[in-house]
Amino acid sequence: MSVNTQRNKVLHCGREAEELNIGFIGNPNSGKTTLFNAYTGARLKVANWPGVTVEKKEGAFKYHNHVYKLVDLPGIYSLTSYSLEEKISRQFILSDEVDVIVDVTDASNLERNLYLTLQLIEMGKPVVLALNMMDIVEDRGMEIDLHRLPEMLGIPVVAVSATKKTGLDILMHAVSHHKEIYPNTKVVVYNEVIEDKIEQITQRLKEHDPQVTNTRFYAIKLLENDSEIMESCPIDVSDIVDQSYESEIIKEKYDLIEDIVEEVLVNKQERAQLTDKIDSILTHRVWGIPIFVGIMGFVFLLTFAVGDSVKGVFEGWLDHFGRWVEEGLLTVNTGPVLTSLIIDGIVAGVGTILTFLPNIAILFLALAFLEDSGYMARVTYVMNGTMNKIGLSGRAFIPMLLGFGCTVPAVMAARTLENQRDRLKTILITPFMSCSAKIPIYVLLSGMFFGKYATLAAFSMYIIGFVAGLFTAYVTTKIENKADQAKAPKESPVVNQLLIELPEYKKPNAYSISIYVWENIKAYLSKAGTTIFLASVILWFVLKTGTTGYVEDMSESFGAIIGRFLVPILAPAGLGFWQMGVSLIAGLAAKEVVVSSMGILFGIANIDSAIGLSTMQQTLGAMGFGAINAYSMMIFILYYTPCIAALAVIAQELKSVKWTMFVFLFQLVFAWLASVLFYQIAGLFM
Amino acid sequence: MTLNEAKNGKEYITEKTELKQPVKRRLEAMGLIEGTMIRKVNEALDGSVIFMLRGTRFAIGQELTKVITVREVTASDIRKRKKGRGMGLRDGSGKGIGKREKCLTKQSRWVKCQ
Repeated sequence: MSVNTQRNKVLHCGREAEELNIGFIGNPNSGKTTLFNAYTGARLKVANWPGVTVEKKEGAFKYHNHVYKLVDLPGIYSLTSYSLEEKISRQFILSDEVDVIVDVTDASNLERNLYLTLQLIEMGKPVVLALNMMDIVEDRGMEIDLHRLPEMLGIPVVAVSATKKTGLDILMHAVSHHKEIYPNTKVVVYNEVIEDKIEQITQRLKEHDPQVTNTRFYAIKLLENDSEIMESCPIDVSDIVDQSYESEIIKEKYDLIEDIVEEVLVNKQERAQLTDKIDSILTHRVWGIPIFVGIMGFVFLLTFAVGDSVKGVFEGWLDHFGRWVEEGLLTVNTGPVLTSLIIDGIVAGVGTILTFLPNIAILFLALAFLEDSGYMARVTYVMNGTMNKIGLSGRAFIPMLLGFGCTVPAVMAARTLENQRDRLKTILITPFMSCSAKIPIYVLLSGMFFGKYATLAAFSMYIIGFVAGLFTAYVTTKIENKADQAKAPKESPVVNQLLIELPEYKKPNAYSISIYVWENIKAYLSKAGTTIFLASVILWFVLKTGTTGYVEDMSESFGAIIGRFLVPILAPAGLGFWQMGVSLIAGLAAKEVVVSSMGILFGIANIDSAIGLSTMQQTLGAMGFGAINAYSMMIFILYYTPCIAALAVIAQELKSVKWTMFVFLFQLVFAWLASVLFYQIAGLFM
Repeated sequence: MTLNEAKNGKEYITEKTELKQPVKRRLEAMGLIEGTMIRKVNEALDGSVIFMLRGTRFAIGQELTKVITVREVTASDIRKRKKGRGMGLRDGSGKGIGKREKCLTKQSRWVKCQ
């Protein structure tokens, strides 16, 4: 061991502590994150649709005593700046923060992937090409000439399979040997006119600054009229760049790619026929939408019906646990106050939430299947017509669909939308897609008041949430268009058009699905252990202390005093009870806390058990809180302001305090209006 | 004809596109340039289209389909395509590229170089 270290020191001239920064870049859905996970042991989300990664993620691993820092970047098709994530990726690899670029390509789709490769080579940084998904290439009976391809490109090429973890060592070996080898940037030789202009610009750039390297890249970008490069260009080249040569440059690159593919790809095949067969059903002209509705219906049926049957087991455990803790506390003789805090506060607050784990796990399992199979991208196509009518592109449907799981990643997914307005609109309506945290509330309230129609009542929340989202986007678009008409009366309103790659269908990968589900369960558990735990303790204090100190009767507590302030406001919605006021405020921390707070408010340790339910129903009934009030409460909770975590990510994405405040108030007012409207109308009939 | 008028399941050669930036740039980067062979796969009720381009399926909105002009594949297109470029066109050092490229820029991919 020590000998080895000694030798390394000699070999690397004492630079053994040196860090190497490696940037993973490539087309969307080419498996960068899977490769990143394979090296770093991270468990970042992977799925089968373009645009899963929207943020750059960093990780490190040790390779032969060296620390290699890996950066996983959002997928891009080219080095232009088209959407937000493309800008992020390009700026990052152009910066000094990357020493070696690993171009991750989908080898089963070489023709399109090589376009970015050629641009990366022109950039002049050390590049290693990783041919990912080689297992798929072999399965299809294709072969890639691994000898000829690096010859033609002038950079090392390594075949890997990120899912099967093959070729990983060889790839890093190539990286370590090529960290200081700069490729020949003249990989594409353009026509005489363009080459002549490149030559002129290069000379002028070198005259201006002899230190500047990759002049060819900048010259090409200038000829493409790239706005960012044009602005930052220190010298005037307008006499040389008399027009945009972009189309010609792109065409010449593709001509070369066709030559390369022709030469290195043996047994080039039409893509698997399976995808076409599945698509003829799932993206059918007429049946596409009904099938999608059916799939989502099935997902929620699983979540509520199957989840509920598994949940019974968890409730049994919680009952036992509660009794066991109470007995334990009695034997060690803790005082009544501490016992109350633990039993009425923590067990009632946190424990209840844990019994909903089966529902949550099933929902995320179903979503994982949708995402990993390749269906997710199809939904944008199927729903494009509907989305166009409300002024959005079908692309905006992905954030909405993810919103059924959790608003936080859903809001971040809105980054893939090209246009700032579309992003704002999508972020505004995503919280209306009922998230998994609201499941406990639906299960509890509908189970208590709607008997055999409980599942239907819970279901209806998803539908009215979805409809409210569409309605909001529609109205916002109308307002925008009016404003536009006032500014420029001639132009007709533009909807940003759908443009998305549809990946091949694949059998969902057990490992990526288990990661997906486990990471979400972990997030739920840690939320129970942190936010919900803390909220429960605070709630207990607020409800058990009053002006006179510790109070037995909660109606004398500080909580009750606060809750009573809200009674007049909530009364028109049928929620004029101080207890409801308290739990709705508490729900801002996390929606599950609404359920926790009810457990504490009504002194029921296991609120979700059969006994707990009937006890609470009686208590509520005596208060005058019936089925209509319960439904009104569900509507309010569906629509009102998202939790703190979601608000934080909305603020981060919108980068505007004003708009974040707007989202906050909008949802609150919308929730109030909707529940008042429902309660008043329902009151007329009942 | 434009892509929305094309038939499902048939192959076409793209001609001019009247796209506006930045969608034009995006589609070109994906390889949709003049003279590319594409296959229209499906069309939805609202006019959105799925098409196959260089081995990948893409879905595009109906407004975009109206500005992509295509023509039918002729027998000579297929003949040129099958003939291919063969091996050994290049010697790997980049020599000889210039001459061929010059020729290709003037004509579409499927037309024989004179």
